[in-house]
Amino acid sequence: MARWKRFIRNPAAVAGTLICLGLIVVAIFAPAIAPYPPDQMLLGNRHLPPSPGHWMGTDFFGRDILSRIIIGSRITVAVGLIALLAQAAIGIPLGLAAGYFKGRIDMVIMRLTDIFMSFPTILLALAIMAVSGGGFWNLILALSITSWTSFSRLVRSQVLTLTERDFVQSSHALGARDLRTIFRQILPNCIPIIIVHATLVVAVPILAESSLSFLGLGLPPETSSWGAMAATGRAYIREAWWSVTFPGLAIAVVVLGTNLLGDALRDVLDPKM
Amino acid sequence: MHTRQHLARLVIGIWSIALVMLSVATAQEGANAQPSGEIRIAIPTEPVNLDPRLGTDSNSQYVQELVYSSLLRIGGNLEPVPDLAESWENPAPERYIFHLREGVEFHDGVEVTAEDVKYTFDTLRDPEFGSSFAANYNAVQEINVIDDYTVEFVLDSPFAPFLYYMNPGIVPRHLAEDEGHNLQSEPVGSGPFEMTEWRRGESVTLEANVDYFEGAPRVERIVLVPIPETTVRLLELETGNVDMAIGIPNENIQAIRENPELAIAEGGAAAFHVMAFQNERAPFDDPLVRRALVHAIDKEGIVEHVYYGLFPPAHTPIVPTSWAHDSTVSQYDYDPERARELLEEAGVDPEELSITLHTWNRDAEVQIATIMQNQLEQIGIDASVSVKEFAAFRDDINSGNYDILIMGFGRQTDPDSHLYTHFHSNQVPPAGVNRWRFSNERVDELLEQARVEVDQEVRKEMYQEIQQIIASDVPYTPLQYTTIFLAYNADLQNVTYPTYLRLFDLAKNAYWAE
Amino acid sequence: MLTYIGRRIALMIPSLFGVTVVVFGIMQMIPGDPAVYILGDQASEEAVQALRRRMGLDRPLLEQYVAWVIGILRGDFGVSYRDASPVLPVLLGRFPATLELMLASMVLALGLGIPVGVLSAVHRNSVIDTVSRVFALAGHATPTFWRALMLILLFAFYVPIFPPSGRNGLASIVLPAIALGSSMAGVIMRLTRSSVLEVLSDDYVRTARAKGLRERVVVYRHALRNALLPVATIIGIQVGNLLGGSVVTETVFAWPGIGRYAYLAMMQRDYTTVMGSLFLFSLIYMVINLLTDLSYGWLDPRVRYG
Repeated sequence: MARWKRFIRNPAAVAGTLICLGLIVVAIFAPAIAPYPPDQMLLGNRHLPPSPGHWMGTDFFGRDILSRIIIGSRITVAVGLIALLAQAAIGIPLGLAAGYFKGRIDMVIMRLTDIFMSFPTILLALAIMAVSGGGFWNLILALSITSWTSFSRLVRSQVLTLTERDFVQSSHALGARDLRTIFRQILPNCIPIIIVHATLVVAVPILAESSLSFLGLGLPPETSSWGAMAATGRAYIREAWWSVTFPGLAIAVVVLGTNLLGDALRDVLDPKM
Repeated sequence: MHTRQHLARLVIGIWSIALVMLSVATAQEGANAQPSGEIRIAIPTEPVNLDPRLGTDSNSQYVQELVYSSLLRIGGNLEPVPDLAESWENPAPERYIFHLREGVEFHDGVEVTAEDVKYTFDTLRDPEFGSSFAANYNAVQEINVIDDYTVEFVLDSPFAPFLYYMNPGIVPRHLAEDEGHNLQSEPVGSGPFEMTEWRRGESVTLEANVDYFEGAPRVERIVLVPIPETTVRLLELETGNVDMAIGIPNENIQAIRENPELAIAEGGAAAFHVMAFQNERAPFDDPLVRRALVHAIDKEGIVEHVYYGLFPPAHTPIVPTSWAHDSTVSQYDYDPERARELLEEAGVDPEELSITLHTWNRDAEVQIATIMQNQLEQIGIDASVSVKEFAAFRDDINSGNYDILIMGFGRQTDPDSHLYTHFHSNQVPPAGVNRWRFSNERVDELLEQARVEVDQEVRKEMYQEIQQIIASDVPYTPLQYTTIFLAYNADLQNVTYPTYLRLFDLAKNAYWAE
Repeated sequence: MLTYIGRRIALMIPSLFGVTVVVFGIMQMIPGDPAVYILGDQASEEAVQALRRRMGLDRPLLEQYVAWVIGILRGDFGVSYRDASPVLPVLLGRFPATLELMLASMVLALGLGIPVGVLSAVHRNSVIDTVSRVFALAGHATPTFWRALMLILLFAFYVPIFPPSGRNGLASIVLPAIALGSSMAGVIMRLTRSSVLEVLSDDYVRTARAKGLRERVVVYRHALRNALLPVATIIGIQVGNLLGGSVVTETVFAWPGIGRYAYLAMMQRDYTTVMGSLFLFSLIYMVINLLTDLSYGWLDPRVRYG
């Protein structure tokens, strides 16, 4: 409890929480919040600088950038969360199995982890996007195929520490079924560390998507993902800095927010730091 | 009085002659001067393959143009002009005889002979060799070396566009057959420049060929530097680290024109974009619907917005520089009211029409598609855009799996090269690239006749009739004719506008102001 | 020690084998035919078949796979589809540029990340701490290409100190190294900070302090060395991120490295080169991780190579 009190008094933690909550609220109510229809084109309004009418200016097609960023929060949140879920869905079971069963299973899983860890994320993602032809689900695959390894390594080492503690060993000795042990005793004890890790890495796919967009292999521009917006706006960086800067800043704020929250949660949930 | 006038005329006359002679002499001196100076040219991406038979991307072609000579090259008005072949004869419709210049040498000092010509075209048309130009030589039956400087091409049947396909660079047979030499990365030709160094990813260095048969270039060295990011390419030009840049974004043209230290050369055989319908898919199988949708899009507005009004809107697939261009074809004004009327006439309710615009991930294509989507929505159609990576996009359109597509086409030469493969009903993929699945008996007939007709005036009439039919049936509608822009340092003199060959004339003629 | 290294290398072999399977598998996702892509739209069926034969695409998958692995063992990684040159020599020819960029980025990341991290930990919750944490986060919170373009505009255009692109002497590496290395600098800084904080609360440091050693000595002699252990672990992992980031950085700065080349090969459907570079990247990653593991011994004498 004392820890949570410290959390509330920590300005960084509060800022991080507010940013993350704010993002989710914006994503849910996006159409209601956006001042203009995000796809409304007024060709005569190309590249209007920020003004009270358009706080973040307009883009190449005369669309309101703020409105597009607000709508784009949905796809951004979706990329971050779904990629995270995919990574967790692969990484956590493998980590649990490796740590719990040890021996040959552990060896095979860890070799597999080594193999996938050895690919630079962006390059393998580029290869997948290039050969598969792109699209949302290929993007998720491309951004998860190497990143699940951090989950499996983390969970495995946590399980190894836990299984050395008495209570798990005794339950094992009592003959409880393995699955039950894993789900009733081990997994719950891994949850805090998983949450901390998830908060710290949830924004990584968002950044990676912006790099892929820059190279022409991200999400298509009309989805108004922030990465795609910044990437297409970069051609006008000198004439219309706002068309690349605001989407870039939006990404930066989210990465910042999730990291601040993650750091603060670590203080609370993971006493070893 | 009379005498005085005569005398004055005489004096002026003599002076004029003297001045003309003087200027000729100095010009001559200029042309014969030792090449000097260096032009650094920023290109978008590094070349892929420098063998003129294999490398088809424009970045590779910039190098190939300068290093290789061809039998004939494509001139400024898209007509074949002499290059290595001084002259040619056409004794029968199926026979062409080329007479080569004598004494022309490859950069390694070996003379260019008819054997090299035969070898180049024999490999080009051999499917095993794998050139993407092979289909251009389907009509060639055999190639005969008559003597060192005479070569004969025998065709199966008359093929009117034949001379237009005599433009690939002639490769040296002795090096091409040498296992130890890779022409794909070490090109050796007989053109105005010799490639001396290729630092992968960094630069391609070309040195002037002082023995070039049309006279030595004015500059000593051309260095091509790949700079992918357009903002950076332009910055390098402005800061003077490069002297010329290819691939300038349209939005920057105005700023460059206003910059006294920079200049712009515009030209090059026009390319164009089209909005095409899947002509077999309802309701686009009805010409009324196609016409209606062309009325629904604001071609001029799109061109104005995407290309900043730099290019004229297009109405026919044959570019204005071509002899076969027909400027009288029907045009469709932007008229949403008319679009609705035509749709009604065709029995189609726009509110119930749902259209996907298919395109691929290049800026211009995406921008055009996005604006069109917006304009179609304004007449009540539910329109969306699908942007894919090129290979996936092509799979879709080749299998006819689309409603409307937006794509661009490159430079064209003879009218046959675009029209036959894109409009003959036997050219529906995979046989050809009639992706709109257009089928019109009259067009088929005209295309076949125009291919074998040798009289250009008669051919011109045939192609004009084809253009009329395409414009009224609208299997597709062209959007605009684009040319290329080169931005360069204003101290460079004698920069000629790019023609079909983009860098060739320019590299030969340009020089630095003293 | 030698047996340990030997065992680690032996363990790399099955991993590298797995890498070949994954890489080859991904290439089978291709919609459409690379031969068609290379020959272009107008190619005849005959020409496509001929190219497929020459590229070996007409053979059974297993045979294609074996042929590729033999190419790796032979040491040329096969032949590029696009210009018929052997893959490995071309990749290696462009490797020094990338290595240079990665080293410069790492020097920057460590040289900035470690001292700032220590400072931040020692002055926990002070102004220094807050400022450096914000900078650290900003370093890896922005898209790489955005950072790179901003650096170019600021320091090559408005204040022209460095060249905007190219690889030409020491000055030209500064901006790319900052663009690529700042994200790693942020990670290193945060990690150093938290591990120094952790070590400072450990028993033996308390003992050292209790013995009356000066704070400076405590921090630098006793705490830092132990605190650097987790930092060393992360360096190995960060190498993968640097290699990935090099694609974007090299593209913006026209840096003639291997990342840009691999990307171009992907766009041009040069599959042998794509597979070769993915394999090479994995190999580099594994070797560097072996080296960092070995460096533990120097940092922490307690580690035994058993």
